[in-house]
Amino acid sequence: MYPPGHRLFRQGDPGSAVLALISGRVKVLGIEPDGGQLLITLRGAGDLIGEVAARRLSKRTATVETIDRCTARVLSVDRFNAFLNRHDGHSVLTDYLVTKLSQTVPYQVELVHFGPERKIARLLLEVVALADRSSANPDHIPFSQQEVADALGMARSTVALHLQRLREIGALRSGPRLAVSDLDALKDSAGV
Amino acid sequence: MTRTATELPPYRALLAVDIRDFSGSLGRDQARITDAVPTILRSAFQRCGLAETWQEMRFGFGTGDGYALGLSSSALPFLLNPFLPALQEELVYRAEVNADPVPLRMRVSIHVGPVTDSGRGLLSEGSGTARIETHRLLDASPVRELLNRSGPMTRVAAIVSARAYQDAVLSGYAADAPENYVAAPVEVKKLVDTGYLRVPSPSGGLLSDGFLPRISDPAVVGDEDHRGGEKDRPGEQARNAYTFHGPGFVHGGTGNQYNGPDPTKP
Repeated sequence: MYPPGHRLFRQGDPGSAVLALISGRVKVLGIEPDGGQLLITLRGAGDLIGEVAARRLSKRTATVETIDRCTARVLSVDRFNAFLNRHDGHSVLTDYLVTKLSQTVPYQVELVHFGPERKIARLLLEVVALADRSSANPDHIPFSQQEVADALGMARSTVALHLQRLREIGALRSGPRLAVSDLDALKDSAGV
Repeated sequence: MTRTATELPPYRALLAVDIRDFSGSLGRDQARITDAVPTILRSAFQRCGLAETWQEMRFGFGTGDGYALGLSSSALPFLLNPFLPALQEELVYRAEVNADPVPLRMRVSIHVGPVTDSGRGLLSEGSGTARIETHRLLDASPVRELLNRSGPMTRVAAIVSARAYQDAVLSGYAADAPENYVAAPVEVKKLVDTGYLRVPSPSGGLLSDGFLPRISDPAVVGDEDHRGGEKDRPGEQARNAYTFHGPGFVHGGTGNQYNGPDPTKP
């Protein structure tokens, strides 16, 4: 069990274990040489964390921080591999990695061609979709304006402007905390 | 009867997509899925910086369980790269945010050729043999098999006509290595051609056995000469369902290409 904001892995550390996330959401962050952090992807309940480094016995390729209170099971690489052998799971893992590895460019690069409002809507939609049933308030988005700005490489003032617009069209609830009010309106803004 | 020559209609880049197992989805979900298809395509074009290409579409029609559209022929290379990987990513994203009643997977065909284009939005826009060929390619068994033989993470399987492959891939305009494509014979109704298979994110059987299915029954592996040749070259893995000796044949699939968006491209 880990509290919100807890750093599970640090980029560059040796990777000797895999985490199976049972509940809660995490951010996968890439640390730039100048110390800046870029959001790479989000993961939620049912996802594996640290499987890239663990499989190759290499260093952690990203930093992982909890968003919510998270429950996870820690597996040593040996136990993880033994599990895969026992259940013939290597091809399943390969398929899993195919998708997850396509998510290794920073979020802001993946969304680079979308307009600012669409970028924000897409991030918020994904955070909400990853909330699991254990979440007390799945509509709540546990990000500050600054965190949204950092994740997307946008100015905080720009983020504030577009969050205000998303409130005006009814996609987000009014008030200081970020929360989804109308999921379909948010999807429209996200272009899905 | 005398025949006089008439003008050839303009060449257009043609794209058709089809939702896999659409008829297997619940009837009450089908309208939602049908309506989502143009949204998905538009977002995939936007995702890879081709928002204008989508806006400049010459014609586009829903097909019930899919969509067919025509673009300026100059857009052909972009349909192969970066559009195909962007469509895969868009469908992955949609599955992550539960955008659709069921996670969607698509077959895609890409072709180029002369089709009518009056610019007046007629129902007949995009008519011509090339349009029919685009739909035939989409129905070809090699591209259907790609989705049957891959894991759920493979959301897009494409088949590219020989003409489009020559004009956009071999020419280098698509900046996509010819080795990423696997030639397969296509025989649908009157269309007999070579199609080129492209899967942005291969998985499952496509990784272990390649893009063409492995057939163990020697009766369907091919002619005597081919099998005889195989014995002499045991190292060659020529165990595909199709005996195909056309130009540009590439054995098996490629699983090691980088599929993410290229940050160096605009």
